[in-house]
Amino acid sequence: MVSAFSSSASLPLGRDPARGYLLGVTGFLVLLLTLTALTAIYLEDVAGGWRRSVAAQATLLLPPEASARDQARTVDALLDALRNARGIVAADVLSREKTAALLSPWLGDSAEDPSLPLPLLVAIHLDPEAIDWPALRRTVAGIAPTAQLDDHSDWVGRLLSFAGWLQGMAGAMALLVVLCSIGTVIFITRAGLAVHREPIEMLHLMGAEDRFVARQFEQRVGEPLLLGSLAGVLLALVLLALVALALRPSTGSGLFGPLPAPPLMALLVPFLLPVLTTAVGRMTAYWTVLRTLARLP
Amino acid sequence: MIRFDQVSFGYDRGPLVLEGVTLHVEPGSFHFVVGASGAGKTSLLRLLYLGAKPTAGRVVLAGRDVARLSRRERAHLRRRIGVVFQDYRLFENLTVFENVALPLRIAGETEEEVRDKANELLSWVGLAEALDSYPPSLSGGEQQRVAVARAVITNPDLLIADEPTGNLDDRMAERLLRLFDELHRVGTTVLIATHNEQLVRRLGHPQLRVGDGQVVAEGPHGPPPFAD
Repeated sequence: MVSAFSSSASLPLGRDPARGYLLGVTGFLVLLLTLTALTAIYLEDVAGGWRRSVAAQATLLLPPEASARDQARTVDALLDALRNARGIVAADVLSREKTAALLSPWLGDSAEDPSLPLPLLVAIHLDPEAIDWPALRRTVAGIAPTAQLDDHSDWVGRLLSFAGWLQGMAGAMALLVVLCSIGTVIFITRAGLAVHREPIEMLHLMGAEDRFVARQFEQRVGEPLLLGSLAGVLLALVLLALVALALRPSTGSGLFGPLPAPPLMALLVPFLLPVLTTAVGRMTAYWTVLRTLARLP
Repeated sequence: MIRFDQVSFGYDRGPLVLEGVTLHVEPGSFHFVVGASGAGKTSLLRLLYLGAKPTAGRVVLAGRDVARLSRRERAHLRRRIGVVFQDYRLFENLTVFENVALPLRIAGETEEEVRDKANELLSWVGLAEALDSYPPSLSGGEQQRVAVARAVITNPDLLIADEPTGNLDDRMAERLLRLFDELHRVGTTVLIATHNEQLVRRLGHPQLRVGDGQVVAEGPHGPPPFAD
């Protein structure tokens, strides 16, 4: 007797051990996919923010001078020149307290010692489209030859390069996970075809087209794919929430301030991934069955 | 309906079971397929219901050379053939109703038609009370009736039955043979493989005798029993 269906015109894949396996593997792969996708999207967003923020900022560092009066005169001249330069929106000297706070990670409490000679820092806000860097550098060098004008490009370039590398790794991993998912569905579908060879042959003898059989497999993988991917996404969100919670105290201060809110695309991922995973998995199963059956006599 | 031109058939690299068979079966005819066990009856039936391809020669069914059919055309041709297997080949995880309804669902009939036809036929074969039962819970005879109902539900052009009365009591066997005869009267070509010489003699239809790799057509033994 043919061992076959669990419901009307459906193959009994729901009773296969492979169903649980597909559910588990899908959950794990979608967990990885969600983590990598969200990481890549978040990094892209954060890096974009850095790029935009840094492009509109520069720092002028004036080494401490022996005479406070000379230094004040130099600073006044620099501020005057900066405020009249094209593309400069604002230029403000950072207070000694703020400078000390910025240096405290390296100098500790001694940064607040009033006898410690600290450089003067001028925070410059600029319009990246209008700024003329060579002219600005010439102006600054003419007033204070020892001053260093830092447009942050070198430092941010390295940071962006690292972020890009991380994004590339995340993308490669996401691709690998997608390929693994497709491979798993192909493997399970082929195994299902082998297990259900007899009922499939019987269906053919009754006049079923390959598409009819393919649809049974497509429908049967749909449920574990959806449930598995929902579980994977949920677990990933829980993990990310825990990570965000753990990182919160240390990211509230520092060079970049608190981490920005997740971008819209990141919010869509938990909804899109289960749908896409299920759709791709179902299509994979459908075409795997058609291709396999087409090779049969 | 059926034409074999020099058809040979064997399994893998084994000896040929059928060798150079030439055969012609008229549409709407009724034949018994007889022969000793292992003579090649099942092989002949497999070729007829497109369950196997000939090793050599040409099989023509309903005017179509089966070797030239696409997979889709083969599927559609198979819908015109009803088969009762000796081992029933019922889907044990489907109910009796679902087993019988399956060919109609494959053919894309509406659920209403499926329900009406399956219920009517199952009542006719005496299984109206067993619609929701699963085949493993049925007796051999009941399973055989389900298999018959499934084979005839689409009103096939060609009905092939392998020992269809083997597990039936006399009364049910008689009803079944009447059903086959009714199908024959409305134009269905019927081929029944059987060892039951008494049945063959009683019904008096012509025979296809399989033996020594050949299929030989033999004349009827007498008038059809349900002529009135």
